[in-house]
Amino acid sequence: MIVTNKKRNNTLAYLFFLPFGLFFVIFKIYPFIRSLYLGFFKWDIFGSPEFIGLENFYTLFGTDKFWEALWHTLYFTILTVPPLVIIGFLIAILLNSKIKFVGFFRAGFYIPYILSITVISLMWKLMFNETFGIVNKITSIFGIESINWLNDPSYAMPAVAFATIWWTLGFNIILYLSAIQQIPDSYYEAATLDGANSWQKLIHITVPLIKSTHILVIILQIIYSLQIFGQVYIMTGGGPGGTTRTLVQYIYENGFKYFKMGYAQANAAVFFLIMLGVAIAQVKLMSKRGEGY
Amino acid sequence: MKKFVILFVVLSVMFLGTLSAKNVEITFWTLFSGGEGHIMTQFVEDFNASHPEITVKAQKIDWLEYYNKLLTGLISGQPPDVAIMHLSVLPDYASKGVLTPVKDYVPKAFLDEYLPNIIERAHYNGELVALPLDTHPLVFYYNKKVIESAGLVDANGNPKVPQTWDEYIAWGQAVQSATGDYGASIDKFGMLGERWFIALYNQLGGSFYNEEAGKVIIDKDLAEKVYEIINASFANEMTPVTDYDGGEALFINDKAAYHLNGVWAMAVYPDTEGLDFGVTQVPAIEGSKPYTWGDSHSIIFPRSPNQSKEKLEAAVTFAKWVVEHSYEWAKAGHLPVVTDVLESEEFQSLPMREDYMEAASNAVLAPSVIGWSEFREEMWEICQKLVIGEFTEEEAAQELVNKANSILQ
Amino acid sequence: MKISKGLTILAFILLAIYIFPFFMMLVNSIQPEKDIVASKIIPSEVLFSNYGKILEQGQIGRWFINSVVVSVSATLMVIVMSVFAAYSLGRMMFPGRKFLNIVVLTGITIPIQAIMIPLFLQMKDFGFINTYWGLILPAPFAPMCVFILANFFREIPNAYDEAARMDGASHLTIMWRIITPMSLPAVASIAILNFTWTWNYYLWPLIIATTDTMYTLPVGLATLAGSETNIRYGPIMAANIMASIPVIVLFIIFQKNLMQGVSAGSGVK
Repeated sequence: MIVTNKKRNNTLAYLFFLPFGLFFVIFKIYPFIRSLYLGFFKWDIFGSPEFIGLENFYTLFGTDKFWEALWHTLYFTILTVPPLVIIGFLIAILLNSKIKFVGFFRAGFYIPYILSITVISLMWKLMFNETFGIVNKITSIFGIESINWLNDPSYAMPAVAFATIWWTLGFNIILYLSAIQQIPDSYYEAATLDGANSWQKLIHITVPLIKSTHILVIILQIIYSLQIFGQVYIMTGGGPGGTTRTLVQYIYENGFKYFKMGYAQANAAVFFLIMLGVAIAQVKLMSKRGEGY
Repeated sequence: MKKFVILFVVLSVMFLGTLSAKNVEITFWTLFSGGEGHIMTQFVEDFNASHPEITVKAQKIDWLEYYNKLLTGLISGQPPDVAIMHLSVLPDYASKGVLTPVKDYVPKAFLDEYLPNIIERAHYNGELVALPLDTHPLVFYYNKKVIESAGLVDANGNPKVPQTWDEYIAWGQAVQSATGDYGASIDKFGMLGERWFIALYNQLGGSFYNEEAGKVIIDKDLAEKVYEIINASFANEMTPVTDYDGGEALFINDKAAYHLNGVWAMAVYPDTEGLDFGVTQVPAIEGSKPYTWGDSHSIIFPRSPNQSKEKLEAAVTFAKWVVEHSYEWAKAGHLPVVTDVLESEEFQSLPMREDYMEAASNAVLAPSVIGWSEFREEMWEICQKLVIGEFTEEEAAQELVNKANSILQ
Repeated sequence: MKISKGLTILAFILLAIYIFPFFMMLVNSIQPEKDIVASKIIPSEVLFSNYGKILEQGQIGRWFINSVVVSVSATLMVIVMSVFAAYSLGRMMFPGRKFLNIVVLTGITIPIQAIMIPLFLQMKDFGFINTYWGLILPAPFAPMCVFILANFFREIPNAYDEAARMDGASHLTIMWRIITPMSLPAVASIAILNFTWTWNYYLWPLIIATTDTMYTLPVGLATLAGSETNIRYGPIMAANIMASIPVIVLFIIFQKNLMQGVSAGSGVK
């Protein structure tokens, strides 16, 4: 076995990481630390910040609105992650199989993801409209009464979740597609020689070999869902009666509308820690299976 | 010889005069787009053409992010020289000292032309920090087709327009039961919890700002009465819970008889094919004037490290010019706030304006307090909870009082 | 290669259902406003005025160019950074690797609203306000791309580089000659994703641009969308369709790369 020069190897590794690392420190870490620091101050953006220690944090943990926003965000995440992962995977498999015009289909399934968040939200707002919307027209075919989707506390979040699933499916499809494409043909060829059929190939080769992509997709999906803001804000404004307000919306409102920047940053810090915790927990969980994280 | 010298001197001075007449360039941020945006762009072009010594450079910013951008501009020391701001949020900014007082730059005659209820709100701590351009109050729209199909017409066959809230509710419910269409539609955010509330509250004799106490004090019983009226209009399916577009869609597609909305909809409704409608001031409590909510787009002059007297003067000149030409602006539905424009032929000749122009003087603007941005969103939410059944009228009123005490100064 | 008719039909049906809202968007862009809000599928009249209004906008060409410059530059920058970083994270063993993994993860979890103001002030210090640098450098999606690519690099079986190492190849050679070609689908996907995200990115370009000549396409088009109280759906739909076309075209061109399997890398022996 060839013994590699450890020191040289390590230096090279750091060097490779350096361009990104530098970029990351300058444009992400530094501003973020500055903003986290603000969490210990009372600042209305224009005046001088006033140091108040942990007061913002005490306040936020004692505010109902914060906990409600947290819950709404978690609810949204629970609603969206499983369908996005499962359906994304299934469609990727479909798009990888022997179908005609496969390029056309791939483009077709990716197009919604290209559309901007504003237009998606407005489109779905129209579709969920109680009197005129297409969704109710379709459900009425099945005899279901018209639902005032976005104005009913029980249905508002599921409706937004549905729209989001529709929109971001493209992202997962792409990730799964590239993962599947990366599996060497030789594996499939060998299996064919052994007499395996398509179904068996799927279960015994494809699915296991993209295990770390499953993890990737799930982690990214969870993080993305926790950060949800735009769609909900445009479709329901956080309503009705504040029943769909998410955590990022809460942060945004406090910081940019009510000029409570210090408080907003404290919220952002707590939020960030929650997300980080979730992400790390997941990674640790998955690395138990030796994925090399 | 002497004449020659004098001529030479005079010509030189004139020549030097033109050399030193610099062109002052000022930047202008607006949140107007679409139809309003066109009018504003035209204003800038016309002003630049007629004022060679000033060049206004306008930047359109979409309304959703306008205030974010203004904020970053102000923080970074790179704000525009002149910008648009709603009077309702003026105190939040004025209190931070970021707006330049301009009274000294404006002739008194010009200021006197303003409607008193409007110009008062352009002051903060006694300083004039904005020049109001318009007011856009809440008014009352009615769909003639729907009303007629419900049979709510008078002896001459004209649609009956409610003058009081009792009529509004009674007739609205009649429409609902007669035709299956909605009696009324209204946006569930600002229109419901803030604007209609303020109109009703003032009609009932209340006033948010208590001069003696120097702060906002909400009368709980009065608030409860207001909520009773609002809630009654949602009973019996007379009014659905909808957002702004949803409510508008119902009205313009002949599915709702009455519609509470702002004057800005006049930018769109007259041109909407197939919509047969009328507009007037909002109904009133018996014995009261039809007070209504209003806000105002005004022109402000942000403070900046680069500010110079010249730029400020140029900016004020521009602002003044725009206000004087606000009959053009009125085409977007907004009402002018300067008496000679209101009385001008150009304005009066615009369709239907005479039906609701009085709303300008009956408009009650938001109280000049810090924290209004946060408080008003609480108002929206409380009212939503009321109409979806989560709060009773009493609970809603109590919550409103609590929020006022904790948020407003 | 047997083409499965059954699967093709299934794909077609699914796509038709999935793409229906987009079809509605196209219809909406040529309808009068009244029809749009009433969700009429058949327009009562066909108008192209929404598109007309947009094309009248003198700045569109400039906005388009800005978007292209920013998206392409940012994507190239991100690809290069990501390939190097992902290689070290995914295929090299060194102390601190796990830590760096977590660092990248934190990058994804930082919400933009939190760092917007400090970042803006930073750009001001560098003198990058209202410049292409200011638009390109923050590249908010870089951590995501590094994370994704690292994952894909990790999945490539070790056999390939061990063989190459035996032949005396250096890491650099392995990275560019073997791993990258083999994971071309992955590189292509982060390229497409980063391009899409940068192209549609809204909040930051709005803030960093102080004159509308520096707007990117989505930001500029949003100023046509009507005012606070008069959202005009028609122009928004039309504008969005126009803004999406470049990305769709790009995708169609590059999606072939998503197909290239390991056939590219199997030249290694």
